[in-house]
Amino acid sequence: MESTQDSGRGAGKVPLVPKKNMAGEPSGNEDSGKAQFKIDIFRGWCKCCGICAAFCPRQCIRLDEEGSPQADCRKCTGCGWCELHCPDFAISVRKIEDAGRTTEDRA
Amino acid sequence: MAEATKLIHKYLRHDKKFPHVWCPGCGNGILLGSLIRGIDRTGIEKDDIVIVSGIGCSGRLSVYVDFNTLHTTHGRALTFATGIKLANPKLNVIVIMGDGDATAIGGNHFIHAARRNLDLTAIVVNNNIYGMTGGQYSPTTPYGAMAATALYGNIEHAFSIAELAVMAGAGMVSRGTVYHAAMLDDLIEKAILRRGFAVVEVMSHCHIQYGRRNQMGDAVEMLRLQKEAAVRAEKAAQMPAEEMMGRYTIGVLADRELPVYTEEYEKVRKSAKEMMQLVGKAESGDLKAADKRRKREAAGEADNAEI
Ligand SMILES: Cc1ncc(C[n+]2csc(CCOP(=O)(O)OP(=O)(O)O)c2C)c(N)n1
Ligand code: SF4
Ligand code: SF4
Ligand code: SF4
Ligand SMILES: [Mg+2]
Repeated sequence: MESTQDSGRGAGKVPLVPKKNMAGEPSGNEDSGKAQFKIDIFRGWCKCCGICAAFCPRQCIRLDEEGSPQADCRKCTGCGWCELHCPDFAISVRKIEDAGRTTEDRA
Repeated sequence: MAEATKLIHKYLRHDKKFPHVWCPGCGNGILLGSLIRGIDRTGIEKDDIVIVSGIGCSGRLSVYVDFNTLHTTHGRALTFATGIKLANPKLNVIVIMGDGDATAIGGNHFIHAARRNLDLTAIVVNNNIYGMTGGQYSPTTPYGAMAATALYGNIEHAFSIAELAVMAGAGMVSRGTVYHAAMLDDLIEKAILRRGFAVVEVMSHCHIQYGRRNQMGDAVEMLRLQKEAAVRAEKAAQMPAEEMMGRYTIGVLADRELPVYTEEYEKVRKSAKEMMQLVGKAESGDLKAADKRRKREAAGEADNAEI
């Protein structure tokens, strides 16, 4: 998706981070050596429009019965599409900081 | 929170009520994000920016951002902006208008601001309808489309805001969509940095007042339509006219060095000042001579008195 590339924050730019399970996180992506991301949804501002769910290139977000977005971080590449397009600034994606190393994590 | 969202919060007025007033999925929210990122990239200080908006859903934008802001009247945002810019040319004035705002009631202000090449940034949110007042057709509602005031289909023809601005003489004209948000950040940044009248026509969606009446679906569906309809300028130049039917070009459509009104006006002020100084000098020269004469005469009279 063109906007994804436009955002300049594609997974290709992310330095390798060893596979590591973070407390409270889904079990991380299966391929070792890939960066992991955490998707935060601010419920107070989310209006359940469904834009993030419909356009996520990795189908990380699904809408529950109430239309509320639920995120599964495992396949997230941190492309930033959802964050760039949420009309309510209600979704934010950050790289999970590896405890042992300093990374480019800007969150 | 990631950097991208932190940046947004840096420019929001947190004393305002959030979530904002717009309908779920409205394009105005996406534009708000692009505007903030575009401004941030220019590196211009908050206090040197003025956001002026008109009335309409899009006009509400100025309420939420932490700059100098002016929420004006319907159709007149450009007139207020003109006054601000001429009074203090150092300010960067960004005007946010709806399609109705800028091209119906404010249509004359729009073409003449472009013709004068006023040093302003004009962002026109084109959602093809009067959103705020309940879906009346606007000058950009397509022929045949349904609207609250076109129950049998619109019998008027739409004009293109961007092309109108090019023909009217704006220094820079571009078109983007809220679907192509990253590109929109870029177009807004360029427009702010451009001297002269820089127009960004933002193709947006009002799924509530326009999409619903025209079976175009919800916000998601209307974003998909933007993705399909928009063709990048480089590609559009190579596409046959038939293929461009029902589509529109996005990117920078015009970028040209033309005399800028605010600078021309400064020159006039400078020339007028110089002229006034010359006149003043000449007059004061006359006055000095007259003064000397008076003194001489007075001295003469005194001499005579002594005799
Ligand atoms: C002088 C004046 N005339 C009419 C109105 C009513 N009015 C308010 S908003 C609006 C049109 C809004 O359409 P647009 O400019 O496209 O903005 P949108 O809501 O679609 O963003 C109108 C006609 C008004 N407020 N003031
Ligand atoms: S795009 Fe934003 S407001 Fe819409 S469902 Fe996703 S998080 Fe909620
Ligand atoms: S950043 Fe958002 S859009 Fe991109 S993959 Fe992750 S969840 Fe999906
Ligand atoms: S009426 Fe239309 S333009 Fe106005 S907030 Fe709702 S969706 Fe947006
Ligand atoms: Mg409108």
